[in-house]
Amino acid sequence: MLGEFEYVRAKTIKGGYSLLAKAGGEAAVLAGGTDLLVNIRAGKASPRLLVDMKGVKSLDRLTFSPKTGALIGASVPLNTIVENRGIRTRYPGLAEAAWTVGSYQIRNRATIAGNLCNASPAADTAPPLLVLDAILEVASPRGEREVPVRSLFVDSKKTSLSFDEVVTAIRIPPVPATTRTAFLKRQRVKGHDLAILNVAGRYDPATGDLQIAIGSCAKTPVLVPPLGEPVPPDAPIPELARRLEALAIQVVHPISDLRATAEYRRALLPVFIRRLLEALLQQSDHREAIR
Amino acid sequence: MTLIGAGVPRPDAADKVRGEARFVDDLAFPGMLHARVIRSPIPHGRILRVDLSRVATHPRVHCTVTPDDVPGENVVHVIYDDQPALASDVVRYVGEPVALLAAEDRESAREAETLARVDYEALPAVSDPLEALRPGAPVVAVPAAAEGRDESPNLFNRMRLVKGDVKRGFAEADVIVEGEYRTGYQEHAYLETQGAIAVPEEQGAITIYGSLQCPFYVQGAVAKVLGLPLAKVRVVQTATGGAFGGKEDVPSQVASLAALLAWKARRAVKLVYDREEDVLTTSKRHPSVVRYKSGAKKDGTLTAIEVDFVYNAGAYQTLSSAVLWRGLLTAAGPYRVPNVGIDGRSVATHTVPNGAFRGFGSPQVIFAHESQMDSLAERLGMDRLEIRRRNALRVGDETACGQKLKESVGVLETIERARELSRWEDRLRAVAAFNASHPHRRRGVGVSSVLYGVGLGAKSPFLDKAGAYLKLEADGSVTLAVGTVEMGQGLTAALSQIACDALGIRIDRLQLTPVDTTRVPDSGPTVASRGTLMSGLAVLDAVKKLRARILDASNGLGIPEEEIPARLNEIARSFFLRNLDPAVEGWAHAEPVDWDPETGLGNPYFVYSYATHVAEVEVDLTTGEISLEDCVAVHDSGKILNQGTASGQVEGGIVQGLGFAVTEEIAEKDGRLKVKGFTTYRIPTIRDAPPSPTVEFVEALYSPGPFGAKGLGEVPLMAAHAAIARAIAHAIGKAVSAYPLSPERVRQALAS
Ligand SMILES: Cc1cc2nc3c(=O)[nH]c(=O)nc-3n(C[C@H](O)[C@H](O)[C@H](O)COP(=O)(O)OP(=O)(O)OC[C@H]3O[C@@H](n4cnc5c(N)ncnc54)[C@H](O)[C@@H]3O)c2cc1C
Repeated sequence: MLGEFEYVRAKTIKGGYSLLAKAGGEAAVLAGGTDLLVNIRAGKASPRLLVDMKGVKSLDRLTFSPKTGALIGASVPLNTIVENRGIRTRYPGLAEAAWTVGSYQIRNRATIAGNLCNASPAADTAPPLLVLDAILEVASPRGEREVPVRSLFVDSKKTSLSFDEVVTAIRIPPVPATTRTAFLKRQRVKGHDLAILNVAGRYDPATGDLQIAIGSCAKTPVLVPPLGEPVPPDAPIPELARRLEALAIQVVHPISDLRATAEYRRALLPVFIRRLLEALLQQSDHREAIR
Repeated sequence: MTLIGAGVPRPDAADKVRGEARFVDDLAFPGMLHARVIRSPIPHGRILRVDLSRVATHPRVHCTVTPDDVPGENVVHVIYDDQPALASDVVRYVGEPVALLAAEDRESAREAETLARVDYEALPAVSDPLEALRPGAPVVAVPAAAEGRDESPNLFNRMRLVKGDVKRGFAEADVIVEGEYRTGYQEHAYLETQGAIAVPEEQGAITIYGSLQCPFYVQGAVAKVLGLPLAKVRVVQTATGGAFGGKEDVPSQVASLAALLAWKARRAVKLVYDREEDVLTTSKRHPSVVRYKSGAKKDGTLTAIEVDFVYNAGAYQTLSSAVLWRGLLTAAGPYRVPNVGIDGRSVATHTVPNGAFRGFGSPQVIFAHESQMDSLAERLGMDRLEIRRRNALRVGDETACGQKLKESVGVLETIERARELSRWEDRLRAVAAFNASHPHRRRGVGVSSVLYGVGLGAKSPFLDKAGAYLKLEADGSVTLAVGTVEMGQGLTAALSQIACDALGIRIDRLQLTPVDTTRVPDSGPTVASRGTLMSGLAVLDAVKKLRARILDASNGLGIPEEEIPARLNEIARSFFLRNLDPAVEGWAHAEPVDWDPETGLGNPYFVYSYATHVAEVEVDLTTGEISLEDCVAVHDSGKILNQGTASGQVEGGIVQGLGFAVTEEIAEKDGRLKVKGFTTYRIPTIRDAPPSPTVEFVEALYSPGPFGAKGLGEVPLMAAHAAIARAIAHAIGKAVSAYPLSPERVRQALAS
């Protein structure tokens, strides 16, 4: 059951963070509500005030250009992101990740901002945004600042944002046309489900630059430390996979939960690293097609 | 015009699609209160003190109920009266109702619930049925309900079936295979949770509106707990959002609790479970351990089977004795077995009482008997369909319990048709070729044949009856009432078709009214795949009587018989003007059955349905992931009255079978179920269903049935799960012996 709270629809960004500031940590931004309302019902969150930012027009915009990258307003629903041609062609790993979140109905409401701010270890859009080095644009009574996704996650369900900060947009830097991204997710059923393990990678065969990130395998989604050298497109995958696995296990701490055991997650890790590398280097298709 | 067999759209579909069907929670009555149940947090303990004083002071709380307030007998009447409506001295499972409250609104009810103080003295608990049978185990069962108490205080029931000479049968066998099989819980996961509204009426009567399968069970239970004559209790079924057996016995409990509050409050009371409460505190499929030994000759002919199976019944009897009985009579499968020894036990444990679930005690033994058939085939180097074909029952054969089959035995046809439709030999070759070219993936094909005794059989023959009430309205439209319910399975369509076909009227000229215990006599429960068969017969009986009257009237009017359908309004008008009786009652009862509890032999069911499924799966060897690629389902349920709803039943059963065999699991620790809802309990989604399953019906007609129909509802799940499990075993080339075949289990099997 939902407890009692007040609901305000902010008209401006300033109006939004001012309300948050005034409520002194007892308010929460309401985006799609697909995490927040579930958490309130389950008694895991009990804000006195919900500040709905969807009335602020500027947060509803999604722009993309190859030169400047993508700017995704905080209120843009995931379905809009999945359907955006620029995102699909330049950041297919993000489009894929967004597409695996929940069901069509959920994605009509759910946002990237909410997915990141909820800070679940299993958040599907986190791994691709980590490898793409995405940046949150944040506003508060103290002004505006930028927070790299790489420094957002502090702990399970905890971010580095302060209670009076509103995410206004997610900025994804431009990438060369040669850059490849990929996302893979293991779930218990083929229909919508949270991840047992999710991984994303970014690779540019022109420069040999490779980055991978792993979700659902630690308290937060994690970026795997870099290899420290360029990876040629014909690099032998088994060996590369072993090296990345060795780096990955420095940052992951798989646990057992109701979705899978720690042992199973640990066993999936090398498999998914290998598949991710196959997708990035050989462009083999382990993904399900985006419909 | 014939409506029989056609894919007539379901008359109830449009309202459900538009969201206009009214489920329990959509209904409200003036002054209605909202109930909450205060439940035991521990699996076993003595209640020391129940303090509801703070609950009662909550400004929005109207009243509370404890065992002292129960005006009748403090029991939930099912088969044995061992389960109290409210525990009064001992609690036996986590979630057992201890006290009740009713408040003006739902939020207040929830708030007030937290104010209840109940002190317990925790007692040692046992949740594993094999442990519960050991000497010195904590005692769960109420002694009077433990039929096997001489052997063990927790032995609810022990049933045996002995035919021929098992020793000799095994001596005659060329090969003998043995296996142990385990299955876990399965949750019904109906869309609509349990719910009932109790409304006190004038003259000391009460009406229950509820989401339920068995209105007459609820009537009996409420009458008992309130100490009322049956005539004072009326039960009306509301649109029911799925049941699958989960609304067979549990609504008796839900309605009894709502009724106790309503009786005390003298106001309407609504009790609707939330999902977590429903999943944690209501019945599930019995977890099982089945040991199975089979012997066969070189040519595959079965010579003997010996089966020993144990079902975890939970804390109270509810339906376990009947579930065990069906397990006993299904354990041999649809095969001729001359020498049979089957021994089944249902055991009390400190866990939620398990009950009815589609298949009703048969899926557990089916997993075993079909695994055994494959083991025999493997040992004999025989084709898996062939060994089933050779042993399949035919007309004139005797079943494992000695029943001579007189007619309507279509199992052989299902096997042969499944072979053709699945292109069995080609498929096996294709799968082998796939496996040879894919190092990390394996495909496999599995088959499963089943038999299902339709109806309640000799366990409760007094329930296999049904009534119907049919009324010709003055404008020629028709009102029909029956005593079995629509719960999503398509009964409304089937019965409307039967009546409209016989009367020659359009489906939209007939209204099937909500099931109401005051309309027709006790028609038994809507379970055991009996709805279409039994109510169908009652409708036919009513139609026959009404047609005779219509014929009389039309003769008087000079209307020739062939013009009756077109001129029914004229005829109906003449009924009205001439004061003729336009209403009839139909009645049906099943053919006689008999069964000897000493030997386990007899004629326990009047007829059987059959099915053979072929499933193809793909297993990812690195992750253990399973994908159901295809399924061919061939059923013999006699005449199929509606192809559309029947195919829907089969497709749904395949998905539910997939869940049982592969994805659905409830971990249990110290009597606590580790499950909350559908984020932790994973049912398959539509994307897990095979993309284009093949469903076909071979129709071995059952002459006493309506147009030759038997029963279908439960059979698809029964056949599907085992075909899928056997396909997985085939794919990985390893034995599989425990459900669910989760990726982790598959990886373990691969590593073994
Ligand atoms: C049925 C179902 C299935 C799901 N499946 C998946 C899945 O497969 N994968 C997955 O990753 N997630 C899944 N989720 C979780 C959820 O849908 C996603 O995390 C979603 O992206 C959350 O976005 P939202 O807009 O609904 O966030 P909300 O619920 O509105 O907000 C989530 C949190 O972020 C904060 N927040 C939101 N916007 C801002 C902002 N602009 N500034 C500051 N803080 C903000 C909120 O205060 C809240 O704490 C599922 C949820 C459901 C109910």
